[in-house]
Amino acid sequence: MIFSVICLILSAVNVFLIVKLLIIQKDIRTIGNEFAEKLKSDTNTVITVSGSDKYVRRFAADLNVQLRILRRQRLKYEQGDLQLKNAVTNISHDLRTPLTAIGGYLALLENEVTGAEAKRYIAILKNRTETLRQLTEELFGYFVNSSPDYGFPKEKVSVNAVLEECLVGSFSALQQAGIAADIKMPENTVYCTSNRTALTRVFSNLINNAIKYSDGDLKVTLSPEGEISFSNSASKLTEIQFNKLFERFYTVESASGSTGLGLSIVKVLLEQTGGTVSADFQDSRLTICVRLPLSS
Amino acid sequence: MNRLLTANFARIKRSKLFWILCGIIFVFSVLLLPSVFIGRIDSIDVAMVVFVIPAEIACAIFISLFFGADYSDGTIRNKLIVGHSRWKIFVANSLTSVICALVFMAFYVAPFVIIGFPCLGLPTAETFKTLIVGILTLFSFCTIYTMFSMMFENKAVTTVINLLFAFILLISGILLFCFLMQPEFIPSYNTDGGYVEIPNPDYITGAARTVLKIILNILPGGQAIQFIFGAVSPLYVLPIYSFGICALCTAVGMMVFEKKNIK
Amino acid sequence: MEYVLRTNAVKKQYGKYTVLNGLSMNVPKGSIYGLVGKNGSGKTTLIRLICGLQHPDMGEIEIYGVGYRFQEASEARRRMGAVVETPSVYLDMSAEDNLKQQYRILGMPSFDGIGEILRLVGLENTEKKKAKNFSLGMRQRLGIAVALAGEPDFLILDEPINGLDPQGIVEIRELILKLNREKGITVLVSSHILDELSKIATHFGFIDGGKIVKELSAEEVANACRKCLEITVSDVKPLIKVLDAMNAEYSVQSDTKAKIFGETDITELTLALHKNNCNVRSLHECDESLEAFYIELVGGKTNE
Repeated sequence: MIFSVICLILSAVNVFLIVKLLIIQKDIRTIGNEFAEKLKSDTNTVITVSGSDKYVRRFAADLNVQLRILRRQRLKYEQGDLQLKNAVTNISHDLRTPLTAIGGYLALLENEVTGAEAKRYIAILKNRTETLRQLTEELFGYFVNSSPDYGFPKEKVSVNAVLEECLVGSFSALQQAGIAADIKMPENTVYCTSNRTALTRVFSNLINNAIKYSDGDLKVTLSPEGEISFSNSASKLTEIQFNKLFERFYTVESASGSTGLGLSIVKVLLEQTGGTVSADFQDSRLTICVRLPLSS
Repeated sequence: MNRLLTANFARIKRSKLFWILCGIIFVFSVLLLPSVFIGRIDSIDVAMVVFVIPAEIACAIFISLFFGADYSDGTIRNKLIVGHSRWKIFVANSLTSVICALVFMAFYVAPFVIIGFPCLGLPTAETFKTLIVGILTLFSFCTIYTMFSMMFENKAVTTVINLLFAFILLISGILLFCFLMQPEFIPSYNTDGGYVEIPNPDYITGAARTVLKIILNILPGGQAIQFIFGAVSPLYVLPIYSFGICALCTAVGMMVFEKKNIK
Repeated sequence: MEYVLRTNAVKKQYGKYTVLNGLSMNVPKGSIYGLVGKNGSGKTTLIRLICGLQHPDMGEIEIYGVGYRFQEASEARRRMGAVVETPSVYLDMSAEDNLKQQYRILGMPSFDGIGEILRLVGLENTEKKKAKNFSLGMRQRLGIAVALAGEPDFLILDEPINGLDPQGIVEIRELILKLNREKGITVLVSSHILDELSKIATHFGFIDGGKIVKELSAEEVANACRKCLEITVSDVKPLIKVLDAMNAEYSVQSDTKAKIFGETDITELTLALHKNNCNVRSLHECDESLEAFYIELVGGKTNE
């Protein structure tokens, strides 16, 4: 009789411990999952547990403390980032006004001045001011484009038309740099889903890039599948430099007139309008390939 | 569901009403013991099987007020807003009420265990069986109460309904029992002056008897009466009915609660 | 644009009475969305549906992109907190105990955060005082504290400034702004007091007759609220003549006052008035108030 009572009690204890163990195991699994979840998502919520083992709870509570710290830092960063973007946008705006004025007055001055030496100085001033203006534009453009809500509306674009426009626009620059451009476009118009303004910017950037760094040639090809490639020989480009081409602020030469933002702007613009860009470097030949989705 | 249960139990622990009811039951039980000692109540067995009645009345009061507070204070919304599903809330409440019933029962049985057993000896095995079956009867009471308290938003209305049910069930149990307990034959005298047994006109027979028997078994009150005054049907039948009532009330309650518009 | 909440053509009827009739709204993430409507326009019913307290008869409700019928919606609700109509607090418990209770319901592993929440809503000195002894304002704040217990990303407040004194109103306003800015919480506030909402809302949803009549961002509202000129003259009659000749939109306030809407060439106006022997006593610009905008939007009478 005593024996069976003891057996009963022991088996009850056994059952109790097994249940407790199972609950703890389930809780630990849940904590692991929730922790990964919280780190990934943008949420204020923290880990919750359903069991009552005090060690498991303490563990979860400690994790929560860290999660909260992380969250605070993340919010601070996001706010700071936003503030930075706003500040830079405002500053570039503010820079535009006096620069435009300087350019304007220089143009007026050019007409007033007569001496050859003076005219030369003014030409240089105009040149430098123009460079400065372009830099501000790029800076402004970069930060604006980086913010996700800029919203380039997607539309059906005739790639042929945009490409032609850009090439025609850069024609004199290409001539001046002594670059022979070889352009291949299909007879039929290639229509893609993108944004006209963004695409114009992309092509201009790529053409300007070629102008700056090409040895003397430029091959532009548009394929009917929506692929546009810009290829030029770049003997001075090294493997390391190639790998960093799309990085923010990286520039191959610290030449005057180059912030190096050009290619990373290209990447951002294409990302936002549904296109992709890739680069290839073989036998001292740099090829940059833009892919756009065909319009149905 | 564990969280809901933990939350409910935490509230019960700090509920003055709960501990007062426990105390009352304890005192009631303690007061019964002397009667057993002096022989007014036959044995400890009889005293013990009465446990269902005080426990179920306490449950009626406590369950109505406890779950009713969730409606009157509006705190049921806190549970719903953070995403607990309706059926989980209902089941958690049912389980909580069942645990409450067990606690009330424990408080009733405690004086017997502490004082009764050593002095008056252990109750029979039959009594233990009755206790176990009685627990299930108590559960069926609880599910009925929980169902009503989750269905109606007004605390006062629920309390009244549950108490009414408590008493109606008991009283109808008693009545039915009395009907069925009429002896088959009653003594009578015939014209010769001799003693003979004639059939009792009040004795219910046939189909009516079977039906009444079933109803007596279904009604939790009827079951309680049977514990006290002797079973009409074999003991093992009763848990089946109890279980049936629990399942029915839980199902109905869940369905109603699921569709309910909550303010 | 990520949306915390979207509803689509939601209908809700009680018996013969249709409260919500095809209501669609979109609450952007990170915004303070002001739900504006007069009493009885369906604000509270809508909020009850969003919170899962009642089910819509027709239509869809999406919380964090998950339809309310799905299991995942319950998990999405974990990120929500709400105070619907009256604060849901246990009256026989203290503020701290109420929060502890909510912590248990949520499954929070420790009670560490309770002190901070109480400090945030200003109830840190209530000790053991039971909620039934709180003032209305304190109870409101406790309701908000309970809603904040789970550290939500989305907070719904149904008429939070109802019955509060001016001090309380300012405190709630500051609290909402703080939560939105410092913790990135999206807030949905319903009210019939436009003035208060206009101070904090980044988006507006105007509800009338069970529908969202218009949904705008604060910027769009500011643009839509027309500028007007308030002009006091010696006599309104020549003013009217001149304004009609100019094809200007105006409304006459009294014998000497009028409001002119839209762009007005002030020089032209004063010269014309001078020609008609009308003296200009005063002239100043004012913005059409949000209230006027709203009244025009819902077409007619105020109910307040």
